[in-house]
Amino acid sequence: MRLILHLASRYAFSKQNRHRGTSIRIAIGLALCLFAIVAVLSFMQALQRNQFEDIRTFESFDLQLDLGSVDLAAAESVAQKIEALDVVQNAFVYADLPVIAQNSEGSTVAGRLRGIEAEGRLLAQLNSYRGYLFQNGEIASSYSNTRSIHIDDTATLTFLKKGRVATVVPSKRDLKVGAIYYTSSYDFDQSTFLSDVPTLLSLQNDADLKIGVFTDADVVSVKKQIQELGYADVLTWMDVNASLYSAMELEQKMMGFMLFLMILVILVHIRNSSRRLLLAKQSEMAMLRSIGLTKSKVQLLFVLQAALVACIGCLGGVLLSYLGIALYPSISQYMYQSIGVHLILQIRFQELLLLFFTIVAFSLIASFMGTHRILKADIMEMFAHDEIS
Amino acid sequence: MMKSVDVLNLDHVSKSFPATGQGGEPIQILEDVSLSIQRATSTAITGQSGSGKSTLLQISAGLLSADTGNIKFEGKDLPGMNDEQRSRLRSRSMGFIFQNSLLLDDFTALENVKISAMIAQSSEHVALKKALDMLKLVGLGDRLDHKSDQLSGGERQRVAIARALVNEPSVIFADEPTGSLDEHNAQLVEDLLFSLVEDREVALMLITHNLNFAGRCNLIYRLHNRHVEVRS
Ligand SMILES: Nc1ncnc2c1ncn2[C@@H]1O[C@H](COP(=O)(O)OP(=O)(O)OP(=O)(O)O)[C@@H](O)[C@H]1O
Ligand SMILES: [Mg+2]
Repeated sequence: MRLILHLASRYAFSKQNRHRGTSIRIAIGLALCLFAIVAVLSFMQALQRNQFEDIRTFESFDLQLDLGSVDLAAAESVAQKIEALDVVQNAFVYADLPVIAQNSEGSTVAGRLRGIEAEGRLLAQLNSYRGYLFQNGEIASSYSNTRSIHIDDTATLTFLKKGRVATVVPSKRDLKVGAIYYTSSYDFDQSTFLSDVPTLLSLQNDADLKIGVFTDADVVSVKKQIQELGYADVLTWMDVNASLYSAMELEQKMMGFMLFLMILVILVHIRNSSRRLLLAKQSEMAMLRSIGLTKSKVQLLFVLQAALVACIGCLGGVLLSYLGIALYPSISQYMYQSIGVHLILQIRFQELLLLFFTIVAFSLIASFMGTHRILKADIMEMFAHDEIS
Repeated sequence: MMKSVDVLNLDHVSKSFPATGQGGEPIQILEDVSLSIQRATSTAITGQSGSGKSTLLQISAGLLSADTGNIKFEGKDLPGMNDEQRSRLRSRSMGFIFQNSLLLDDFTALENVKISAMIAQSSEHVALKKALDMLKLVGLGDRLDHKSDQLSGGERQRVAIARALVNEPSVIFADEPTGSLDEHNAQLVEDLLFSLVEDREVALMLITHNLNFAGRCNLIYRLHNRHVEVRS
């Protein structure tokens, strides 16, 4: 057995080995492929995480509850009740009102006014560029709309109000733009003016009040707990963004498929290179057989050799992957400039492990089959066919 | 004790190779060949180039399968053995010297011989000693660490001989072992082989074009027109 091991390592990488170059090329190929898969995988996951992160922070929150009531005090007490749940970090009242804002020079922005008692994650990631946010009777406009709406402008908000004769009537209100804010979500910024809840209610006192919830726990289970408190109209961020979420799931499936194709390419590469390596070793095998090594030992020897090459290649890939992730922050600035998002890359260890073992296992199988085929021939035939096929 | 033991027995052996190219007839190389090799006896096979001498030797040694006929090694059916048994024979009882000396190209002269000894279950230490002794015997004491492509044709041949002899086999199959050696070294190898036949009761199956060499053998077969005939 020691002899077999010794021979295997010699055949894999020894300096004396004529096919060392091939072994090294195979190992490098595996390393790069593994790295490529890990890179794509973690980028994809980071992108999606990033996108969902914004949605969950600014747009729909982790969960939301439509109260169907207009009583602010009642809404606040519901929020307190929900916040008292262990799994909930924050629960806060908010309401949306579609508006068109116009400044004194006549330029307009269509969007919504969100009156909100900002808390937790939202507050932490809400930045004031100028002025003070959430001053009573004032609104905050976003940095991305500064071309139309400036700080200290008086913006004329046009919105629809329930009327006595017609169902809805347009009404107008002038409000001071007291602050300019920005967040990491461009979509949110472009369409949203912010105020506190009383200011929004002063425009429309029967606006539909909702409660936003932040949690670190599984949203579905939190949803159940809130429903148990007696509030049936709870939606998770996945419910609210169902179409986006399913689009992303589709995207994830497509990416999975692409990765599958990539792995397929790698496997074909492994098969071909293992076959090439083995054919090149055919006369060595014949020689070893003629001096009395059994078929099964010759097979073991070359399977071990393939395992060695595959393991070293994959380890290289793993190393490369972690190195890439470690070095990423130093190039993330350039990434930000080209794709406009800050990504935090992670490697999921289980996925890496799975990949590692898939590749190594396939190498073993390819080598096993390859030697099996070659060893079917008579020893002299193996000599004769050397380098031809 | 049995008397005059047949180490190897070929009984009505035929062999053809598939036609090269398309539509040709298979080429019949051997037809109904019967011969036997005895312990402590040297047997020479002669014949024209291309007459099938190497083919006959390879079939006798179980390195190539015959189309029909029986081959018995020490009374046992050679093609009928399983791989384990045959490998064991190759390692312990047979020594091959191929026509174009074939070495493990990735290994040095010393390793080539040593590996062969280790496969026959010698410990590494013993194998090393045996290999050293054997290589010195064939005059390669100063070429131990040369690899196959750093050795001359004659040196390679001598390494192959050392490797074939290192496990003290009971049969030696030698396909023109002195073909690429100078007179001095050829003589050395010749003497070595015959001394093994006499001292160690080895059976030698030898292919050679050298009539003097063949003449020293106890028995000479001539391969001609796909058949063997005894000369002597
Ligand atoms: N694998 C093969 N396929 C087809 N034909 C073969 C094969 N091996 C050998 N032959 C043919 O069989 C014949 C006998 O070959 P062999 O090597 O036994 O001759 P030989 O007597 O040893 O000749 P030499 O003295 O030149 O070594 C040759 O004509 C050769 O072309
Ligand atoms: Mg020949």
